[in-house]
Amino acid sequence: MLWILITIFAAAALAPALHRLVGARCGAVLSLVLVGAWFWFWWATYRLPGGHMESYPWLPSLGIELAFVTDGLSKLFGMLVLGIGVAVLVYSTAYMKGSDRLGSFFARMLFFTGSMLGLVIADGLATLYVFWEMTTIASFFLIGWQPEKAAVRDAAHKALIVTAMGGLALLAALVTMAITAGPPAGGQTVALSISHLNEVGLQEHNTYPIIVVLVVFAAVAKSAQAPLWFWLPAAMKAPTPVSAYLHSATMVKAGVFLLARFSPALGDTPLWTLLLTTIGGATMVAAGLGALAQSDLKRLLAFSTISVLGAIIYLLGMGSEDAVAAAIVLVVAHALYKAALFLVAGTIEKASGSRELHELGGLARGLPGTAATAVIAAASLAALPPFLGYVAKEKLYAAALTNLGMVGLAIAVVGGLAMVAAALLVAVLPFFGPRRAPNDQLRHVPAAMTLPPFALAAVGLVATFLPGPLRGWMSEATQAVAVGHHEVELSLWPGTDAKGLTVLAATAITYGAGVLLYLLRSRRAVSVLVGLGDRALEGTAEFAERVGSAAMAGAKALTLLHQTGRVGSYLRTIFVATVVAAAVPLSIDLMPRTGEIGITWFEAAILTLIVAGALGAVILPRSLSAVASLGAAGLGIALLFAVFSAPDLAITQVMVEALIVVIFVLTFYRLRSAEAPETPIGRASDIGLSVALGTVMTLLVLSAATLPSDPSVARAISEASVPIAQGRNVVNVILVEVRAFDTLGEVTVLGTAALGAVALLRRRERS
Amino acid sequence: MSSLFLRVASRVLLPGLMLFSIWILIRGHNDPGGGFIAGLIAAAGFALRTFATDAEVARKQLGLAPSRLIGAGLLVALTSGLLGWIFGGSFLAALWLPEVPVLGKLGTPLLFDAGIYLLVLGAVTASIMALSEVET
Repeated sequence: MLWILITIFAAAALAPALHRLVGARCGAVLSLVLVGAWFWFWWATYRLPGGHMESYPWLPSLGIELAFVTDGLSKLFGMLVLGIGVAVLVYSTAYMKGSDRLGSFFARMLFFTGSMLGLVIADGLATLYVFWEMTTIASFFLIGWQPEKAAVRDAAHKALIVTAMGGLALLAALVTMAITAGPPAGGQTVALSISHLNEVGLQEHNTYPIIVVLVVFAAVAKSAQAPLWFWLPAAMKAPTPVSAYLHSATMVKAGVFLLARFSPALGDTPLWTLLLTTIGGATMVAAGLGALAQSDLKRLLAFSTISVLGAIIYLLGMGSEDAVAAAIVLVVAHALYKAALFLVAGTIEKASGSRELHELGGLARGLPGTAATAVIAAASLAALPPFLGYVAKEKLYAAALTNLGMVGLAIAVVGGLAMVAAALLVAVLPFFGPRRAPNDQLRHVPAAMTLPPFALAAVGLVATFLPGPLRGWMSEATQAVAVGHHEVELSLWPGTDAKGLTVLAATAITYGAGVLLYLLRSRRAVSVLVGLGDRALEGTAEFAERVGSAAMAGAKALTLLHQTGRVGSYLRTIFVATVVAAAVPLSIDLMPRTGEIGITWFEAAILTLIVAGALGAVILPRSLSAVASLGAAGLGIALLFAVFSAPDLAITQVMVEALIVVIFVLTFYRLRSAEAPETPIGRASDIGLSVALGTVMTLLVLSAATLPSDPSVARAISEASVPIAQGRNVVNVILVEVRAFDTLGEVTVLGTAALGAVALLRRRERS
Repeated sequence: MSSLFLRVASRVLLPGLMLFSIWILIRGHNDPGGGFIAGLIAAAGFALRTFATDAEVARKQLGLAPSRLIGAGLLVALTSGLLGWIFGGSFLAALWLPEVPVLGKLGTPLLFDAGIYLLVLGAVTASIMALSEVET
């Protein structure tokens, strides 16, 4: 498993280079690589028994591992991620043609693929979290494909902030779960894998509500459910292949996946059911209706995606085996038809020049293959038999009826009829009817753009008849989530019992009402109704905007308060803080011990030099003389170091003094220096502050010198210096060997500071 | 700020100071000296040259742009650590070669110190040259 991931990430890293080497053909090569990975994944998981685990040590001291599991759920999602990835990559070779950043595009897509795959096969909590955040980052870079446009930047930021908030919630949840579950039977300090958590079950503990809220928050953010749903329509600014892959078929499913993954550990309680069915149901209805108010094809599909994800969460909330099975089938069906529809939208846009529904019509003649794909995919969306979408819808209705009664069924029906209307809008409007398009001539659409979506949609048609491995995967996935053997039936007939007939009736109502909604869509009553869904989403978006602006304004105000831009005020703040911070321990405990003071004549002479230098710096009128005077004081200190047998310190001090004088000269000659305060109060407070600082520092140095200290460290180092470190200069040995890592950090800071200074000076020069 | 005296003197002193700084670098492990000090000495030499002529000339004499020196120094220091990791078991482990005449013992600590030397030289020189080029 790890090797598959490494291959994908390596392909991502090499994509730009590959692009430079073979030009536009790199897309074909990378698609082949992904196909290979797909087969590899299938081969590896096919041969492994269910629930195979792999783990690699990562931070052994914390018990964190890179752990993977291939149970039914991860197998199913893995196949989806890789399979749809192949289709999207092939499509992208044609869609993104002509871009000179093609390599970068494929790199980002493959990076995402690897991250998403890692997410679905993750077993360790740390592994899960890391890959989760990697998908967030990948999504950011993919949405922000054209950063020169402000709207694109804004969309990418929105997506990043919302999903990152979800990520933080997830982290909090994972940590809480690990601590709550306690150590596994094996002995580590903390339980750190999902499979362990699933075995233990967390429903009983008192931290359960917090965990559930956090996990649901993370899932809501990632899967764009109410009220964190506004980022997904904005994310439609991304190129269409990105929308098809991430924001319909895979990444947004990560939230749903999370809920499914933790169902055994967290599910089956009133809180779980309440939260999920409420949020899922409300989102399904609101977003479903809101979709019908959209004129942009991609936005319509985005709303529809949100709605279906709501339906899936609705089902996961119910938690029973049939509900879970329904959810799984819906996941697969939706991934297939939605990805296909998004790719179709991209094709329409490329060929006709527009994505607006009121500008398009009658394209079927010019784009026959695409039209066929659209019809097939939309039929799955509308849940017509014998498409997979139909099977999913039947199961949804049956589960809703069983678990939540007629009310539950009614809610599902509302969602369903909205989907029918949306399907008609997508498939019928642009392709049939009088011909309209911004472009007079439809641009040619290459096979690479027609085949992949057709393939995806076709799977949704064929799957019902040739269930084969797909049914097996879905069954395994259901088992993994609902815990208990369950064969997923892909039957077309809901049964002739009372329940089955109710479902059949509900289906009929759905079709009828959906068509009605579509036909009456321009009527005022209908547009008000669907406008509510749109308004709900826009409302949350506006609220989020206001919160964001307020936060930024607050941060700016706070920063301006203490970042005045004047060195003088910074120094005064630092000095005051130092005096206060040091005065407290000094007064309590740290006063230097008094004792004998012996002083030789040359030490006295050096002292005089230092004092004279300091006085000169204060008294002398001209800045240059003051600086030179300070330099003299510094040299005096260097002499003191030399006298007290610290030659390295002395040399360093001398060099630093010399260079400081040089820099001061340059600064005073070229830049205007800060002015001393004019008012008597200002000067008095500055004098007071300086005296206080000097006193505090003196007392600190004296107490450091006189208080008893443990000599063992110094002794150990000097004893080891020659034999182990091969050096007689203990100071250098410490800098370069004993504390080399510290030194590395320090010089990095030094280098960064120098670069920063140079950059600022250059800016000043230019302005 | 140019004067004939300064120009000539700096031209003579610069190579001397460079040699001196390298000597300080190499002897640092056993006697007073080391990478920081050596870097400062070398930087002082270039500061002198900057005063005597101007930043352009001094930069050309330095060879590499100062900011690149910073990166180079960091790279060298990291490499010494990586060598320790690959061959010695942990990052920054000290590996020593047998003794060589004149240079003494060579090893990863000396390489690390050389990295520090380059970085300090680069940092100080960058600041001084940038300062000297600021228009009044």
